[in-house]
Amino acid sequence: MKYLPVFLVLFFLYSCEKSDENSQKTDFSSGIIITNEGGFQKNNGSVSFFDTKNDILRNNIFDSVNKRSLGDVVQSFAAVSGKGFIVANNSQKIEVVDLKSFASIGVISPFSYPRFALGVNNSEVWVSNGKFQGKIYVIDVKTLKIKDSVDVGFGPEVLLQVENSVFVANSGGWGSDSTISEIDVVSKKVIKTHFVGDLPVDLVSDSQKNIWVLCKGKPSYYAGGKTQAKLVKLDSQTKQISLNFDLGYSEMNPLRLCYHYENVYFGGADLGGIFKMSEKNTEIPKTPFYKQEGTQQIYAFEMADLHSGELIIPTLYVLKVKSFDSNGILETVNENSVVLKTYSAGIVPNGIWFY
Amino acid sequence: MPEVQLSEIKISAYRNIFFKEDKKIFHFDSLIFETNKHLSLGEVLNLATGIAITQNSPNGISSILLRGTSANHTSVQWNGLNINSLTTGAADLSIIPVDAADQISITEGAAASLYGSGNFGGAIDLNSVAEWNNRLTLKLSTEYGSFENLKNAISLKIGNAKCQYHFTFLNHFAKNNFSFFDSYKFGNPKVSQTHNETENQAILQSIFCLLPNNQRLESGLWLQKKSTNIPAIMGSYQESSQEQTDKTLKFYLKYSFFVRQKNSFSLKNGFLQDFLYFSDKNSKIDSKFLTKKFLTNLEYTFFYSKNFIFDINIDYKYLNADISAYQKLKTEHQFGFSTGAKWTTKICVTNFSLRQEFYEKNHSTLLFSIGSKFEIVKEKLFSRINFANQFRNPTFNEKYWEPGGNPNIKPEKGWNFEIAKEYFFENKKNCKLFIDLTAYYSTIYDFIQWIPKTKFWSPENVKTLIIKGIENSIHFDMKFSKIFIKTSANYRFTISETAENYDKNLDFTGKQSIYVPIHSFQTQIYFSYKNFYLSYNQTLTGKRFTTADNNEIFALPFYSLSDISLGKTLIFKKLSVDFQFKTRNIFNVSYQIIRAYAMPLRNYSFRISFMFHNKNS
Repeated sequence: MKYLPVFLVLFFLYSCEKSDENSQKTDFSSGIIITNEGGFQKNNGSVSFFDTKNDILRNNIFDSVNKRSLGDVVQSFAAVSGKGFIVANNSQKIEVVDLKSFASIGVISPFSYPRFALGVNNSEVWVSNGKFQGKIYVIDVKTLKIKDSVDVGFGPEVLLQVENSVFVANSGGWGSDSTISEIDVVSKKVIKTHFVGDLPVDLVSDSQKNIWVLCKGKPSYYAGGKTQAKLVKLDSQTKQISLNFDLGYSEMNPLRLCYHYENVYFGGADLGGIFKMSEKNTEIPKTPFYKQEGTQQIYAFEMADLHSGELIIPTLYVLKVKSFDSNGILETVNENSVVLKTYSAGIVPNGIWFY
Repeated sequence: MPEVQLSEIKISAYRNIFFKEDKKIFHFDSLIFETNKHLSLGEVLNLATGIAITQNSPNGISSILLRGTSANHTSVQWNGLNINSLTTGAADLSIIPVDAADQISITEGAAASLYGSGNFGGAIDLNSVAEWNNRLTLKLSTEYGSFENLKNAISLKIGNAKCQYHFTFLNHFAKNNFSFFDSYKFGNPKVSQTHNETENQAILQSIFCLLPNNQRLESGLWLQKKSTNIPAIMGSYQESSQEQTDKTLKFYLKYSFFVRQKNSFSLKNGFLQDFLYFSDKNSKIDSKFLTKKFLTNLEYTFFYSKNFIFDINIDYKYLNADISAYQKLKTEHQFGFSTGAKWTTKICVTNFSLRQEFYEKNHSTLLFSIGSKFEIVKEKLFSRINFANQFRNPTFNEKYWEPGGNPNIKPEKGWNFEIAKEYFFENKKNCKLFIDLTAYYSTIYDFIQWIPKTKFWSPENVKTLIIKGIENSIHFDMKFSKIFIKTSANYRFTISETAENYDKNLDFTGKQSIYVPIHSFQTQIYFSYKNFYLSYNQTLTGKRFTTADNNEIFALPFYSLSDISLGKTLIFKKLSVDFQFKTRNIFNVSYQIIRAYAMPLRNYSFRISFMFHNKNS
């Protein structure tokens, strides 16, 4: 019995194992990054790298390379001039990594509420920021310093560059908004504010450079009650709304929009799945291309070509969430809505970034 | 064997305590109270028992994970009133000062048939007790420590053989601007915590009166206000603006009388009001939570003989929650009917209890508990065995929170089996040894968890949890001339794992519950010589997972903390003055109790206490 404390101490020391991390050297210079926001205030956000050559999704690559956690609510990613910019929303920072090794080369801070990053050219990254009245910060890629800012609407989110303009979806953030800000890339001034629908959250441009806007609509817990989600088309010539579709009501799950080969894909768990429509259509489809089923909720998606040897396979990448505190999944889906493969992603995967 | 006495003390004992010799109970002794004065209940529990406590900063929200369960599976009872939050079902142990009670005990795996809903893990009893031979006890103490931590306390106990009055005032301010290594930041810099101030004031009063004809009246009042700034998580580049204020008012009045040495009646009424205000300037959030509980309890105990006692208990609760997230005022009426029996022989005490709870929806199953404590070797070796079922009625948040609350959610159910051995040894030289070895196995069916659903995150009955474990406690006291040594050690082996997920998409079978260490160990050594004393405490907390799928990358590693106190007590007749110097975390360990929340490195405090004590000899 007298050796019991010694035994217990040794036992504890033995149980204190260090995690065995993937030591394999991977080149991250180009490919597909998945951002996983993690649980709120858990500091377990991460990024995964989809190694298409070996058909492997490598999780927690930042943690493995840099031996520390990435941050809280990892929101988005942008690659510019060999550098990766990872936006950690609730850490109020952007982690900058060398794209080849994924080693950390700096931190840009402080922001109040950074959301999305966009490489506007080889020397500038623009970042949307703000829970309420928002700003777009212009960051010098070389010095990693904020060199300019532009005032926009409430809760700026996704940025989209079309020629010399950057369009900003003013999602309302923690308040409310219904506009898109159009900023001139050279003068860095807002040249026009477009009114679309309640809480615009995502943007794409089509083959004719028309802007498609996905508006989430106000959830039921907003003062004044809920409003419908909308898909809105801004005509590239007139800059007026040329199409405006009601999509039904959404609540807490995110809605997303993407574009691929003259088709617009939009939806999310709250709308019943992911819908596909031609950019030339004047009516929205009634049945989803990919249906929301079961308890794993669609959180994000992108459509892109998957290169398999000499084959090019248009593939829908769908990210789904199981719970706040466990890994989500990535599904690859073919053009016939058939799930090709399922991969384990990080906690609450929320974005797919091709670079 | 513990003998049942038909005394005034037994009339006043709460039935929860009266019927549980068959359970594992940990009583705080006077040494724990004295060496841990001014601490919160959560801090003392962790220091004295090694029970897993989660806390997001030194004075932040603190929850207990007793026997591998969740925070809403352990109730805190103040003089028999459940003071857990109506909204979350959990008790914030950081706002409960250890000075709030004269007696504190923890019953692990407490029976639902005695305590009601929500005791899969156990129950903590805080009781006020009259010392009838006290005439005047006045205690004043002040403590100043690192990070501008100032704690003051005044305690007065005054009375005679018929009436006793207790008054306690506590005041605590702390800046908590400690330094820590921020391992989530580039370069692991040493930074200072900001926006972490706390201010806490409490007033507690009790009165006990013995009236003619075996009547007794007792009442208690607890008023408290705690304001806390909530710091940003580690790795943040912006200061937090979150603040929380808790205000509480607790009151009870109990009347009891004893008829012909055979019958005891008691009537107790209680009122509990909790107000919580949360604000975040950066997010323009202002939330107010106001809850009220009205409780009535009628109890009859029949002392058939020295060996057989039974009771009948009826209780009623009116619950009221005014919370903006519920959209409208929510009220509930709850009834409970209980009965219990205790049968004592020369070598055995057997307890049996039954309870039925009636809700507006989903009444409880018939709750029962049966258990015995029996003597194997006279006055040396005892055995305990207990079997009971369990129940947890969903909380107000789980039912009414908008959006996402699930009014149709089923209650959690389960059962618990426990077997134990107790060994006592005492020799003439005042050496005392006590060893307790307990093994338990319990289940929770229809475990409730918030999960993502289409449209909202919502609470669902997601899984069956199996919890099994072994607990070993050793206490050894030795008195030799002017030297007194008291040692204790507690080891806990806890497996709390998912046995089945009802949704196959959420398959975490075999995974350990988050923040529950498989191994934990605590030891304390107290040494005194004449009026000097030294106390050393060490806790070891095993690796804890922070994700449901037990992802190793996000697990928190093993850590060990050591505290040391050195003191001297000067005694001048009825006045004593105590000086104590304490060093906490003496090995300067960087650790996190909750992932991403910083805790302080080595820190110090100095305390001076005065006590005037006049007893009727």
